[in-house]
This record gives sequence, C-alpha cells and structure tokens, in this order.
Amino acid sequence: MKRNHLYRFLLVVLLGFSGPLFAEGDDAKIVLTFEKGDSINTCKALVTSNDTPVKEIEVKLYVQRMFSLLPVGDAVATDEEGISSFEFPNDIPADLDGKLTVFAKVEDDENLGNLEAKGQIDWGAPRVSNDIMERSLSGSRSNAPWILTIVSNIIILGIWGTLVYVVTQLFKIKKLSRHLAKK
Amino acid sequence: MKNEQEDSNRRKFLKFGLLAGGATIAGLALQQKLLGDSPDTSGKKVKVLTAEGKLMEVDSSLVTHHAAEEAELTESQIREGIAGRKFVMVIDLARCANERKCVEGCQKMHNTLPPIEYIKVKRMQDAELTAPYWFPQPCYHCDNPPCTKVCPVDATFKRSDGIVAVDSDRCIGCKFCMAACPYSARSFNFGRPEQVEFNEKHPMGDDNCCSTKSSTVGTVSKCDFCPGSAVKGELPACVTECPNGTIFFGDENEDTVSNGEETFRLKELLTSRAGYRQFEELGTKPRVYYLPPVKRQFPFEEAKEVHNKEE
Amino acid sequence: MSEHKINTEPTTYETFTQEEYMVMKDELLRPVQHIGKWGKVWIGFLVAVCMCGIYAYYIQETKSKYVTVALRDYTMWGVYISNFVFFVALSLIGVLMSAVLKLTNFEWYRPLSRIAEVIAVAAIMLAGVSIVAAMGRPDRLHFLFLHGRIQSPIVWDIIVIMTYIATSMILLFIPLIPSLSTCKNHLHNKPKWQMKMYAWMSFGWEGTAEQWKILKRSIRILTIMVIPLGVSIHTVTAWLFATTLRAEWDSTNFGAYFVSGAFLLGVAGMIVAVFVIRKSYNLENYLTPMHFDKLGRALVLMSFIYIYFNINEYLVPAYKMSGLHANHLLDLFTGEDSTLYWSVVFFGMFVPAIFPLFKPMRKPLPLTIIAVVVVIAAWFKRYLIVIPGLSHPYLPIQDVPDSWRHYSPSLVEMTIVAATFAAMMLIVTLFSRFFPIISVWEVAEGKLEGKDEIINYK
Repeated sequence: MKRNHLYRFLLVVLLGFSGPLFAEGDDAKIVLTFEKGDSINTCKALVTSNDTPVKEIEVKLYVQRMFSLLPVGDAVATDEEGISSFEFPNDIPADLDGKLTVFAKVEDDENLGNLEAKGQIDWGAPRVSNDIMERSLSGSRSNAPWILTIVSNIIILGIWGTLVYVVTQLFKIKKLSRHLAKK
Repeated sequence: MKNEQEDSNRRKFLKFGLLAGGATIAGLALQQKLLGDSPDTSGKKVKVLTAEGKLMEVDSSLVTHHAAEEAELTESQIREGIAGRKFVMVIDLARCANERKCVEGCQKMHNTLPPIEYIKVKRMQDAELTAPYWFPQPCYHCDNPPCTKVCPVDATFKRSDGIVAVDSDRCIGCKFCMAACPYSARSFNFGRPEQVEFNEKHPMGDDNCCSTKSSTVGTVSKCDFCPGSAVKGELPACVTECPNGTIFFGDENEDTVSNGEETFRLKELLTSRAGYRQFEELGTKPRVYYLPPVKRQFPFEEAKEVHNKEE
Repeated sequence: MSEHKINTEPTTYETFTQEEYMVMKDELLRPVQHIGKWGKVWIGFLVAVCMCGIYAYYIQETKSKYVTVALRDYTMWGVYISNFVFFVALSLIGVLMSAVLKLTNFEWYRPLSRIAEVIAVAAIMLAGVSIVAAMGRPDRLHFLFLHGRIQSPIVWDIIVIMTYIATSMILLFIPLIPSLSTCKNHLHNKPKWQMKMYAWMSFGWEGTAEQWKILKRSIRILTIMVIPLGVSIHTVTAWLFATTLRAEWDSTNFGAYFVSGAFLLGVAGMIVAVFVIRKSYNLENYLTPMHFDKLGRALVLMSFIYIYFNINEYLVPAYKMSGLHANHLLDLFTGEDSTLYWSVVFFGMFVPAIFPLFKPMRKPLPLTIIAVVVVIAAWFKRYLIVIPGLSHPYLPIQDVPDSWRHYSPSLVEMTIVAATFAAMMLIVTLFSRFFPIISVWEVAEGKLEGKDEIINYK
C-alpha cells in the first residue's frame, strides 16, 4: 500500500511539472556561461530540451542598453552538444555600474518557443566621462574664460573709477566755496 | 461494498485531480523562476518597419524597459543632466516619408499646438539635379552651442548629458538665442490665444524632468530630447511615433542607438551608412547625425498639402 | 570772492561787465526765462504722443503679444531692435560733436556741445526703453544683474550703455555748472523750487581760479574718455548681430560700419537740432550760417566714409554671390526689399554726399531738409539690417502661416517707436526750458580768447 502511495505521489509530481511542459511542448532551457580567454572572451549558450542538448537552434546574443537590447554579432546555431559559442567583443561600453548585462535568446523557435538567459559580466569597455565644467564661452556664468573675466573687470573698474574720481572732484568744488565762504 | 469502493475511488480521483492541479501551478511557477522572466505583453501595439521593409504592428513590450529608480529630477539635476549619459540622435533620411507623426507626437508630448513645431520636417533639395528628400529637424543640442553662448541670464545651458536645456523660470525673452541659432530650432511663446487656452485646459503638471515649460508666455522653448522619458528608460516621442523608424536615439557613451525596434552600434551605423551632420562647417558640433537618403526603401513623394496655414 | 587772491589766469567771467556779454546772456537765457504759446503746444503734443506710447505698451503687455505685435519665430526681432540700434547710433552725437571737435580744437563746437550732449543722453536712455519694450519678460529685468553672464554680448551692451549714460550725464552736467550760476543770478520771476534747484545743483560754484581748474580738468578727462566709450557702445551693439552665425550678419565689417553710420546720423541729427533750436529760440546770432556750412561739410565727409563701408559690406559679397548670401542680397537688390533699399541708398548716402558739395545747399534751410531726409533714411537703414537679416535663415522656411514669412510692424509697435522719438524730443525740449541750451561761458570764453570764429566766419 505504501509503495502505491509513493508511485501515486511521484506520478502527481511528474504531472505537476509536466503541466507547463505539456503547455509548451518540451522542457526547454537555455543556460548562459562566460569564459574569459587570453585575447578573446567567449559566451556559451547551452540549449537543452528535456535535459538533452538541442542542436541547430539559432541563438542570438544581446547586451542590455539604456533603451533597448543591442544585438551582438550574428545568430549562432547550436552545435552537436547544444552549445552556441559567441566571441564577445571587448569594445562594448559598460553600463553605469561598470558591468554588462548579457542576454542569450532563442526567438520564435517552432518547438521550443521563446527562451531567454541573462547574465552579468564585467567585460565592458570603460565609459567616457562627460566633463562640461571646463571654462568656455558657451559655459555657465561661473565658467567664463579667465581672460574675459579679468579683462572686463579691469576695464569696468578703470572707467568707473575715473567717473567716481571726477564726481569727487565736484565735491571738491563745493568744498572750495564753503571754505571761502567761511573766510 | 461496491458503493464504498466507488466512493473511495471518486475521492481518490478528486484528491488526485486537486494535487495535479496544484502541482501544475507550482510547476509553472518553478519553471518561470528557473528559466527567467517571460515578458508580459502590455497589449499596446506599436507600428514598426522591419529590416525587410515590411510595415507591421508589434507589441510594445518587445522594447525592453529599463526601470529607473526615480522618475523625477531635483533642481540641480535639471541643470547638471542625467548622470553618465550623453544623448545622441541619428536620423535615417532614407526612411522619412513626411508622415509627420514625429511632429504630432512631439506636440502631444509638450502640449504645443500647430504652428509651433519643435521638430520640423522640411523638404530639402541640395541641387537642381539631385533628388529631393524629407528632412526632420529637431534641435541638435550642439556640443559647441551658439545659443548658450549669447544668453545673458544663463537661462539656456548645456548639460552633462548633452542636452541643451531651457529654464523657463529664468528666461527674460530677449530672443538672442533664437537669433543666434543657425538652424532656427527655437520657438517663442508669444501668447497665441489658442495656445494659452489649450495650456490652461491641459496643465503640464510638475514637469521637472525637462525644465522647458513651454507654456510659460514670453519665454523661449524648443526640442529637449525628452529627458522626462529618458529617465524612465523610454525613447523620445518623435522616435516612438515614427511609423518608419526613421529616428534613432541613444546614449553615445554606450555607443548604441535605437528606434524602438532596431538597435545599432552608433559608430558602426555612422561609418557604414556615411553619417554626417548638418552644416558641419559652422563648427556647432551637433548631436544629431543624418544618414544620407541612399537606397531609399520607397520613392520620394511630394507633400499633398501645405501645413500650418492657420495663423 | 576774495579780493586778496592773486591770480594770473583770465577769470572774472561772472563779473564780466561788458555789454556784449549781458546781451549774450539775455539771449541765451530767454528760452529758460519765457515760454511762448507754441512752446507749450509743442510740449503738449510730445506728451500726448508719449501717453499713446505708454498705452500701447500697456496693451502689448496685457493682451496676447501674438496679436498685438507682429513678431514671429523667424523674425523674432523687429522694429524695437532696429529702433534701439538707431538710438544708440544717435547717441554718438555727443562723441562727435562735443568730444572730437573739442579735442581737435575746432572752435565752432562751442555753441553745439551742450545740444549734442543732451541729445546723446536722451537718445541712449530711449535706446534702453526700446530694448525693454522688446523683452518677452520685462518683469525679469533684474535677472540681468543677478544672473548676468559676462560671456553674453547683451551683458557687454548693458555694461557699456550704463557706463556711457553715466559718463554723458556727468559730461553734460559739469560744463553746466557755471551756467547754473548764471541762471541763479540772472533769472527772474521763476518759481522758488526752480531757483533752489539751480543753487543746489551749482555745487557752490563761484568761478574762482581753483574751481575753474578742477572743472576744466574734469571736463578734459571725461571728454577723452567718452570717445572710446561711445565708439564701444556702438561697436558692441553691432556685435549683437556680428556674434551670430547668420550669413547676413556674419561680417567682420560690422563694428566699423555701424560706427561710421552713427557719425553720419550724428551730423544729420545735429543739423536738424540746430535748425529747430535756432528758429524756435531766436538764436540766429549763435547758431549761424557758418555752423551750417561747417556741418554741411562734415555731412559730406561722413557720407563718403559711410559709402565706403557700404561698398565693402554689400558690393563685395555681391561680387562673390556666395550661396549663403545670395537670397539675402538678391532680396535687397532686386527682390521684395529693393524699393526700400535703393531709396535708403539714394537718400541716406548719395544725397548727403553730393548735394552739400554745393555752397547753396549748405545754407540752413536746404541743408536741414537734406538732414531730415538722411535721418529718416538712417532709421530705415537699420530696419534693413535687422529684418531682412532674419528673413533668410539657412534652412528654408516651410509650412508656416503667412504672418511668419513676412514681417511688417504692427500698430502697437509703431506707436511705441513714435513715442520713443517723442520722448527723446521731450527730454531735449524740457532741458532747454530749464537750462540754457547753449553754453554761455564756453561761448564767452571763446570770444574772450579772441577766437572769433566760434560765431563769425573768418
């Protein structure tokens, strides 16, 4: 009796797992691995169905970008062992956090449908920094070219200084009269 | 005896059925976890032109969204720009068919009415013997902007993410930047009555991602590369609205541009398609590149009507 | 005055008792002393036009600018800006007629210098008014001072204009001080506040040798300084256009071209002002046909210089007919602006260059007619620099309403422009009613020093 229960239990579990499999057809998986080489880095995508490797499936590699996925290279079909090997370029700029998020996808396959695997790796090229703080004519108020700031201030101070001097001279005229009046 | 046996069988069957159903659900959940998220369909359709030249509708969920932490920017961020980004645009002149969906989409995004157009589509013909082509022209967000040079109050400025922005709370309306722009990319809000009425009925809300509150009368406004969308990982209105995927947008630091459906490495695209910038010799260093109308996917067609005849 | 002071300089202007001087003083103070019916009508008329202008500005700021003003996205600068350039040009009259002539010892400047300085101050103030009328957000005017960018040509323009206003006002005021004393001492039947004003403004002037020394030195410093300053304001104003990439304004010539045009306008403006003042105030003895003769010759000289710059500005690009300039040049020479362009060339440059070569043309009335024509042509010349300059952008204008293609100023704009003219003339008129428009002591000084040619032609 107990063995009966065990068999029933196993059957239920299998059926449970097979539910989705029956819905899609096969138990297909894609696994993405990274292999660092001396001069070339390689990505390998392993496609299996029911734990057996599937060959001649087109796999595409993508890198996550700000607005979309960037395709990397052409689609590579899986070989005898169900593995697609991709030479990963080393000139793709990294994300803001310094890494690259890589996707391996099987798209619209008749049997396997859509499969997707994701991984993070730090094979990105260094990002260029944006520096707009250098002094320029187009810059903000505090980023004016030194020479412009210095020369304009010298000119303004020079001319207004002269005007102030002339005005003080006027007051000197006034003083002269009072001085005489006092006499 | 037989009834008992039948009842017990039925009970067993029910129990088995429930278990199987529960296991199926559990199995599905487990499968999802192992194999990664399957994209949820959003139900929204977007028209795209495939590489073969077919016009088709795809679900907009095929554009992967990059969820940002926050969709709102602080005051200093408005002046500084979105960190680490350097936006760039590529416009494929071989694909532009004067649909003007970019113009309409931009007007909808910024609540402007015709004849105000931040992106204009012009009919260009370089010489008598050369072919005419349609020329979408937004603000180029130049790296050596002649407009920010002349602004007396720092109301228009270059951000670190490449965007040349306008602070509508600072602008004094002298229009010197409009005089200085060789591409006539800027617009002024003269308080056109229909526009004022429209803005009152459709307030833009806080809108602090892009400081250009074009509804401010007496100030200058223009294309702003939709930073409010960019910070949410969405492409600008003109990019997504174009049925032919003419406009590509992206981050130069990532060396990638996309029109929502196709994504390319920026440098590869520009070198293989001989990209150029308009009036390069003026030295303004625009951030918008054009791909010449070579190998057009459909022939050039003249406009069927004159637009914006109403005052 | 202290009798014990020993001085070797010829002084005693105030105590100069010669009959001639008394007559001179009376004649020159008459406009201040007495205002006739027509004088009042004139002021009333100017005030009325100014009121219209204020009302027009009120309409402009409260109603939609799209409706009241003809500016649009492509021609975003209109008559306010060309009017601004005109007034900045006119304000160089102080540089030319006052400073340059003074320093080059052309004695016939003496009756003219104060007139020139008043017009200069009035014109530059109205230039500021014109530019504020053009601003989209005049309520944010203070941002120019709070957030100003030193890299912007507008900020340079503001700095030089403010400096020029200050310098010109001081340069107007300092030589006025001795005249204020004259007013205080010799006017009668004037309201108390007016007499108090003279006393207060004369800074205790008594005509002592020391005071004269300070006065003369201050005048000399400012006279020297105002020349580069005046040239600067118009050069910087020219740079508002020349610092843009627009083909019509992308010219190395612009600074000098504008300044030479300003000198021409200054001479023409001087002729008109002298004629009007001479006739209205009966000052024929001081603003004599000799002045007109000299001013006529100056007009010819300035015209030829201006023609020279115009040839460089228009004929040389026309020879090349570069694609960047072709649309604009053909428009001016043969297209929609051609009538205006050739009228301006003929009346604004050819007429003042050729006609005053003949002596009969240098008599007061004919010369004044020529000068009026030159002033009008000069205003339209600035219009032709600004508006066609905006009508031919690099990228073609397409798909816009008609009002966006062709600019013609609206009624509101023209009213405000007319009001700026009225306001300028009002300032000059009011000044001449409170202060002697001809500098008494400068004329007397010249006479005393035996320089007869300040009034009489030798």
